[in-house]
Amino acid sequence: MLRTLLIDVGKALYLFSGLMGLAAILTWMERKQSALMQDRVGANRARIFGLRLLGLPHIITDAVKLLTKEDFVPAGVPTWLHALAPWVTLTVACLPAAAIPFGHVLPWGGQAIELQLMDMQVGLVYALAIASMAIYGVILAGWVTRNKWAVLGSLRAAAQLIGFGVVLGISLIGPVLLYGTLNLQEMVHWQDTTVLHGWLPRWGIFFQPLAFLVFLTVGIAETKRIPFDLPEGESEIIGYFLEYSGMKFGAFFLADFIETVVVAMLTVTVFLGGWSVPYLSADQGGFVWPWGAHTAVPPAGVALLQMAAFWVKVFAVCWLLLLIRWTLPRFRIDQAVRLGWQYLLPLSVLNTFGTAAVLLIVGQ
Amino acid sequence: MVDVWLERILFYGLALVTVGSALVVTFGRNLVRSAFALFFTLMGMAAMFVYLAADFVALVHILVYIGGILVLILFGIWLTHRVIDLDIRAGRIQLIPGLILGLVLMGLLGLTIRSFNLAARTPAPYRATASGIGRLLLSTYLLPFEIASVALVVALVGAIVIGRRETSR
Amino acid sequence: MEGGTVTAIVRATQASLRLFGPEAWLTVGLLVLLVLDLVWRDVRKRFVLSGTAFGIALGAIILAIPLLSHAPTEIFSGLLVVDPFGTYLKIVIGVATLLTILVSVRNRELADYPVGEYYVLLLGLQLACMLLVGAVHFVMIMLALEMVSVSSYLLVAYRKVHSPSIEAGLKYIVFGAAATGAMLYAVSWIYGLTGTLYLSEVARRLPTMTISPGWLVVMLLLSAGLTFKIAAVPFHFWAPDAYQGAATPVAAFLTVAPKAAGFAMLVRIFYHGFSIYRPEAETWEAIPGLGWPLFLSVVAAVTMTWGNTVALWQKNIKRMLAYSSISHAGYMLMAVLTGTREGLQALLFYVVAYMVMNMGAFFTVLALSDVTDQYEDIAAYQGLAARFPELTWVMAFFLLSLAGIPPFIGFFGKFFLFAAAIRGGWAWLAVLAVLNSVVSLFYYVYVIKNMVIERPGEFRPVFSWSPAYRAVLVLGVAVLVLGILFSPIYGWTARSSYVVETFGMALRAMGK
Repeated sequence: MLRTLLIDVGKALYLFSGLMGLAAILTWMERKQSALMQDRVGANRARIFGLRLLGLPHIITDAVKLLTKEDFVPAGVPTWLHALAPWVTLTVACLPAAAIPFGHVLPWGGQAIELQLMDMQVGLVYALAIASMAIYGVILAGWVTRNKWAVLGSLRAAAQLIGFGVVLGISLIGPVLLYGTLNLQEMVHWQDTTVLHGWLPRWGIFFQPLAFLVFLTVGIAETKRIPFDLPEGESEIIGYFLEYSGMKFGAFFLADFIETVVVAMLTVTVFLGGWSVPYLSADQGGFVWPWGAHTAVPPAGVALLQMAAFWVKVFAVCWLLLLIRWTLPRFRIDQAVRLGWQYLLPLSVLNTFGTAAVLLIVGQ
Repeated sequence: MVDVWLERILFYGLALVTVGSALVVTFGRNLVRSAFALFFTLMGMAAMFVYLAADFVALVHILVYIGGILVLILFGIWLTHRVIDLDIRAGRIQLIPGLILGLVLMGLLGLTIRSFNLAARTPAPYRATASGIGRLLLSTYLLPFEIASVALVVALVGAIVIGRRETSR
Repeated sequence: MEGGTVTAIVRATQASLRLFGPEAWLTVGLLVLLVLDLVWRDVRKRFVLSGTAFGIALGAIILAIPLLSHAPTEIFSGLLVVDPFGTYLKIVIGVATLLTILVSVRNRELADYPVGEYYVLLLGLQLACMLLVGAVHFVMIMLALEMVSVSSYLLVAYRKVHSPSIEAGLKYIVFGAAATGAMLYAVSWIYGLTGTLYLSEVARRLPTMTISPGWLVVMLLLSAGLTFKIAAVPFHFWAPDAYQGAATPVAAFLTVAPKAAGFAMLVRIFYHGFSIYRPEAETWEAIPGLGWPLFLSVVAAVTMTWGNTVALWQKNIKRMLAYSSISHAGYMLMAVLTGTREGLQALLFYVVAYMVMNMGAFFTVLALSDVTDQYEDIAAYQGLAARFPELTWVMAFFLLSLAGIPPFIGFFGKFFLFAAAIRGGWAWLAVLAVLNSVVSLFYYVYVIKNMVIERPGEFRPVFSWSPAYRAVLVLGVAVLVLGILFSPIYGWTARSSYVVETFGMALRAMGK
């Protein structure tokens, strides 16, 4: 009883710190990567004992700055609702991660620990359901502050998130049909093998490229970042968090990065083989290379490699998302909504039908 | 023993949230606040589905009602009235008849529940429900599944006709 | 019941589709119409789409006719049933649709509104009514009911620039949502109490159970949904507003098709679900403890009396007809609660009679609406005889038929109804119904008096006659001819009135 509880708490801490840590690193990476892309130097001012460390201390100075800034609450606004909105946003942003497997099993004192916070049969639906709640923080923020720009941002967010939420669900039907399960751990297991005589890892992206593209696009829209940052639109309406400052603003700010990480986690799990390492098989006790060679790895090593692989992949997708964010300009609201309803939705429906047809033919 | 108590506390806590927020929805004077209270009612209902081992239904409930319908309700309130400036008040009518009706209904419900010997039943072990639901939808309930889409098309077409602004008359 | 293999499902679906012709045709037609509406851009659009819709509705009837003599069969794993009773009503609904489409083509009230979507909604409503007629599983019933309701709301509110139309639609939605909610709650109770949603299974399990107080709640809540659909008291409030606010063709259709479907639903639920069939006497005996016949008798009595009493005070002819249609629902309920085959036969006959005379009356109003703006006020009918003798004649036919005067079809309809009620042991109800018919004569004849005896007021015909005029004349002849030669229809009702003793064949085949 106590032991399971401790293990659960440990897993939660591990996942949460991973999530937060990555999100914090992303705040730095965003500056550094954009600087690199735009041929600038980027964040390099903050120093700790004279050490610049490529600007990494900026993560800490940012946090200190946000925490010590004045927390301004506009007059006539219910204080507790005002305070609630950022934390709702932050909590909802973190929750989907609970269903994501960040490894297979870790052998620990003669016992195997499942490396997943919640092993749900309907893990994917859980992630989508929680993601659909992301809008409440935004709506609350707009409503409670009664600022016209903020309301405008909230309305944009609602229009955008509802439309893209539909596509988000439908784009994943193809992979679900392919894997035959809604359980995220089982999805990874399905991908944890190879095809083409052992050369190609059996990752979802190779079978569902269209779904991958649609999902990634919609995923960016769900994070409300450029090119879909209309709810924020900092150069025109500043956004739904206009009346927030200090750490409350920081929470909104961080939530964006956490959403990015969560979208990356989902992408990795559904399309990029999750924690699976190419050619590494736990049953075979090591790497089985396509040319027939075999490299033995101890079970604990396998588990650690897989856990590392998960974070590496998540980090890579985050990098891709930042790359996209700094490459594209912002859409207009009508363009964004049209893209969702008129292009991505039909595409994902098409993908569903195509997958079903192929599975039917192959199945017989 | 501790688990049982924990479970009970959790259950009654959730029940309290569900019923309490439902009361706020009913008696709340501010429409937007009522809508936000409905959020907790719907969440509580989803939790009840989880207690019934209907995980898929619980999540779809969240997805549809909280992620979709409630957002549209908020949207609707926002766009039809300027709630931002005005405080919309919902009135209470026929409190006493409603109360009596509710109590009678509750009494009958209680009597009926008592006629089933629920305590003697043991809960069935958990089984994954999603695949079963999918299978039933495409076999026994194929027709309702398809007709539902026809019904939605008809409703959608009608709603667009009523809702769109006439550009040419 | 986890379903079978893919092949088994495909085979079962194919077998079911063979008996699903009219509905399948309508579904496809609906979608074709939607696409046609999108691609056809030309001045003849209104006529092309009307013609297509007419063809689709006609096709559904033609496909339904061979099924009239088909032995009762369950399709789609026992969710729907195809039997002569249902097919008969489906054809009636189809004919009502045809007539409605005919008079909608050049209707002035609808001229400003998009035409394609109107027919999509109308055909959708027809499809939903036909599904409701055959549904014998609560999931199917609720789905079909909801589809009927939603398309009705939209059709009522269709004239969106016309504020009474929107107001009526809104009231209809609010009432409808409450009624549907109540009924859904009742269905959840039924499921909780019996553990099944198949009507036949409910009937099989009920006699073995003790009837708990919960069934009282079930009956009360269920009646909310049912009385809402047939516009009976206490859920009739929406009807006058809806009929007045809706375009006249829509109002005419709403008084007939959803009502016929609603009565079919009543028969399915109460006969299949809450009764035991006694083949030797050809009666459906209510399962003891539920007491639904007594319950329905109260509803019927209140409905017919209330409808007639309030109709007396109406100044607007559409409202008057609305209250009259409420009272007619009361008469028809009488047939349902007898639980005899004779009662069913009377119901089936009355549905046809009611369709002919009630649509006729509405269409007369409609024909007038094409030539004048003052067509809703009863006072505006003064001296109509001098100007439009034919129209006055047929309107008189319809109204007298509605009142139940021989030799019109309405008389025979009522005669069968009352006879069935008396022989079923509901003499007091029959007496009340006769008294009500006498009362109803007042307001029907008041209109006739206005048309024939009063001096004509100021009036200027501005528009030319529309197809509605011809439809009215046809129905006027029908109400007379069918009144005299009612035996063919009566013969069909005799053949269609057996609702087979027990269903559940498909269920048993599945080993449930």
